[in-house]
Amino acid sequence: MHDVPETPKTSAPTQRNIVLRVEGLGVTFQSFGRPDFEALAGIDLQLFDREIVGIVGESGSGKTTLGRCIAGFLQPTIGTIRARGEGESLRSEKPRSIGRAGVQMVFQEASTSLNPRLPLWRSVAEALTKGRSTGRAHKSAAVAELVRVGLTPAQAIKLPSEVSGGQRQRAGIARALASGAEVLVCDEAVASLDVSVRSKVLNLLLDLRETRGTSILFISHDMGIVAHLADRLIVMKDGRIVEAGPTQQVIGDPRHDYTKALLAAVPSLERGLS
Amino acid sequence: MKALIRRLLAAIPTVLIASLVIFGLQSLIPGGPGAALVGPDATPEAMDAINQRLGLNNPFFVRYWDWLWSALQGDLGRSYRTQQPVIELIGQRLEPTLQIAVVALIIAVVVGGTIGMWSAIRSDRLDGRILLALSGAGLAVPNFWMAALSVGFFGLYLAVLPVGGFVSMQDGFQGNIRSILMPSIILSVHSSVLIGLQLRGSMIATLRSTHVRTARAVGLPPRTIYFNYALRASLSPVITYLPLVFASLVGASTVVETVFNIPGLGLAIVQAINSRDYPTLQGIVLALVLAVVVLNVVADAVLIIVDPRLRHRMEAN
Repeated sequence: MHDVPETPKTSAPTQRNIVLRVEGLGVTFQSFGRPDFEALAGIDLQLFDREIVGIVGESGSGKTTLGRCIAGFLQPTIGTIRARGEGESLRSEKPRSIGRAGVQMVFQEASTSLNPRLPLWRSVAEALTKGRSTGRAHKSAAVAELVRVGLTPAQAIKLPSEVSGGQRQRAGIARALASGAEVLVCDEAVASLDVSVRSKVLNLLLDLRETRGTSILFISHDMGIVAHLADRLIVMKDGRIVEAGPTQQVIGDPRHDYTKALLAAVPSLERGLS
Repeated sequence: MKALIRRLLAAIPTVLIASLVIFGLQSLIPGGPGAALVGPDATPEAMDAINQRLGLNNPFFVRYWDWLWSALQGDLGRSYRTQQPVIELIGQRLEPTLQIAVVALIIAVVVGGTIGMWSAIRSDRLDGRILLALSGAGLAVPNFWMAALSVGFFGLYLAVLPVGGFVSMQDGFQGNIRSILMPSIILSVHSSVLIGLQLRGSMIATLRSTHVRTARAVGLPPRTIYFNYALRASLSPVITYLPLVFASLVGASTVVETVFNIPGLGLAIVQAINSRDYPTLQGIVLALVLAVVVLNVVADAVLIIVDPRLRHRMEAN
């Protein structure tokens, strides 16, 4: 179990509905001839609607494994994950081989997650209709989704290889939202983008939270970005949560040595100039 | 279209090099046409006379140039054995070989495609593994042995199919189908397995790719995932492979046509090798090289249709 109970410490979330609840989650990788590797252990977390929770930690801390479990890309060894679907109540997992209803993942490199043979609008149209129709009847709706995330209709008819990394990332987000996702798990979603494009995508995520009520789990190794974006922070180390709380509190008064070390590692302009 | 014409023009050096190899290989065949025509006990004078008459005493490149120049004008020479123009012989022998090879290719694509898709989708299940093991067994059984067993079982024991020979389409559709059915199926076995294995490997990699896993996570149904995503993305290597499969089918037809006594190009190749009938051998092999080159261009055209990225790239160029 982690040291710090993972409960929201600001007043706002308590009035909100829980859209995702993770209880006692653990993942152990087994490989022949080697000792078992415990990638995650005793993870409890809740995500409220319109909330952005940042998950930080160094490489190998288990944050991506946690994101993949929540998005349904990896089966946990132990524990439960429940996401809200229709209505107000949390529903149990839908029996899918991959994926989880209401939760979608946004990857670091969107080019790998979009079908390279389909124009952007087709990928979104398929998500809108759950593949029941790939015809042009849904083209205008799909293009409208892409326009909502800041792409132009001309960009919507292009293949993933014909647009920039930032535009691909926006298309990936549009596809995730088109599938009806209430929760986005963004795994290093802006890490491969240059600074100007990065801020546009981050602003888009903030905008989606305001306009659509989307909740976001933002996984990153970049404490600076997460501090800018997240309402709450979860700090992970060796597959466990070592500290959690409102962003201002964790940054202003870090309790765990590991969190202090992470904060000390954030490069600052003053420090660079000195 | 321009790109395809460019591909055809780029194939000219390939055909020229192939023609040089085809022509050069005759020097490697032991004995010569003279010995084959006049017999092993011929006197040196008789051998010299026949070599003189066939132009075999000329230097290699002179003979090659004469042959190539004539071939460019549609004259592949005359058979040493029957004196029949080679181009006419190819025309006569083409029908059975082409029919059997095309039917075998269709069977191989359908059966191989099914094997490949099924064993890829069910790669972690028992039935997928059993199918893979059976495919391996199919690849291990030689053509001639399968042909001999089939003749015995379907031709002699059950007597439902003819044991050999070929009935032309002009002499009756039903008879034609009955005569090519068994050779086509036997010819298709190895190619089915090879296409299946090729598709399986390609499809397993595609099914594990992030974009397919994400599409599944978005909630797309299995049919869309398997056909629109995985199969379509996995087709390119298989399509590129098909001209080679066709070439190997024609190559394997030498065995099947011999066992079933079908007067096709395969049997003609065997007869030409046995009698050192160089013009016939060179003519048939050159025709096959041309067919494979053309099929490669056709495969490129199909790839452009299947993969829009290639189309866009070509339009951009």
